[in-house]
Amino acid sequence: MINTNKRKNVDDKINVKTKIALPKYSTITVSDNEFQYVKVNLEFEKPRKLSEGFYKKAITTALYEAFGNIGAGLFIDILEFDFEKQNCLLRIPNDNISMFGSALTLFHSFENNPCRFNIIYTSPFLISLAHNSRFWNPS
Amino acid sequence: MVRFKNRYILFEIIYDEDENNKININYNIVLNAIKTSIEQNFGAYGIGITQSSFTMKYFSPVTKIGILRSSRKQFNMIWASLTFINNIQNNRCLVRVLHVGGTIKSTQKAAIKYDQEQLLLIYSQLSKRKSMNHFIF
Repeated sequence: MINTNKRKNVDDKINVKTKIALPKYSTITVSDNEFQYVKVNLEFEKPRKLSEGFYKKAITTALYEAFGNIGAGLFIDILEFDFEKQNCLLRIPNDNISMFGSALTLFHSFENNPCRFNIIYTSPFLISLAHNSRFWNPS
Repeated sequence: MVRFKNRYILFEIIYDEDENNKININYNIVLNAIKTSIEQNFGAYGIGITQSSFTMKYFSPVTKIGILRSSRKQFNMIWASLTFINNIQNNRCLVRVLHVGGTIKSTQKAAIKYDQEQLLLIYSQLSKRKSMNHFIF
């Protein structure tokens, strides 16, 4: 939902100088986003790498263990997958983000291998994940 | 301070097979089946959140009718898991909710009323069958 709120200069008629100094501006409030974008990393105790399918299975298992069939039925999409770094970019509906977060935190082993999920970054806007100065690599 | 309020669920178990081969179920088996269903559908979170006020107040293996107690917040969760039960000890069955009440007294009344209706139904069927037999022989 986007609310635009245009504000006019009150002292329009007073003189020309203020009109030049204070240009018209508008504020935009963005709320109730449909999705949340989450960057996740999976780390095993003994180094191991999962393919994209098994990665998704690990996430579904985490949700099933914590919230049962209700949790396993959440809409979770993999947008980007990095096999080498075991990083993954996910899209989750905003209503279920707390369910997703707690399920990943409680997850501790996959196929009897101790592991953990690290949540690197979450944002309601994909653009802030795409261009983030914190992850800037000059090389 | 507000009183802690409950919901009482009156349910009935219906079996797929013939009523003649008696299936041995008791209080513990049914309670176990319900808890397994909650864990399957709502996970560890569901078990934890419903456990605080969840008890089975009554179960009769003869009429297969029981009364469950749960808090008002979670009773929808328990109802959903009751509906998802489809077998107890490898006997195909379904669970039907007959009444939901705020007090155990109203639920008991509903149970007695339902039992009476069932008895009358069986009685009318029997008398019908008797008259049929009389006609044939």
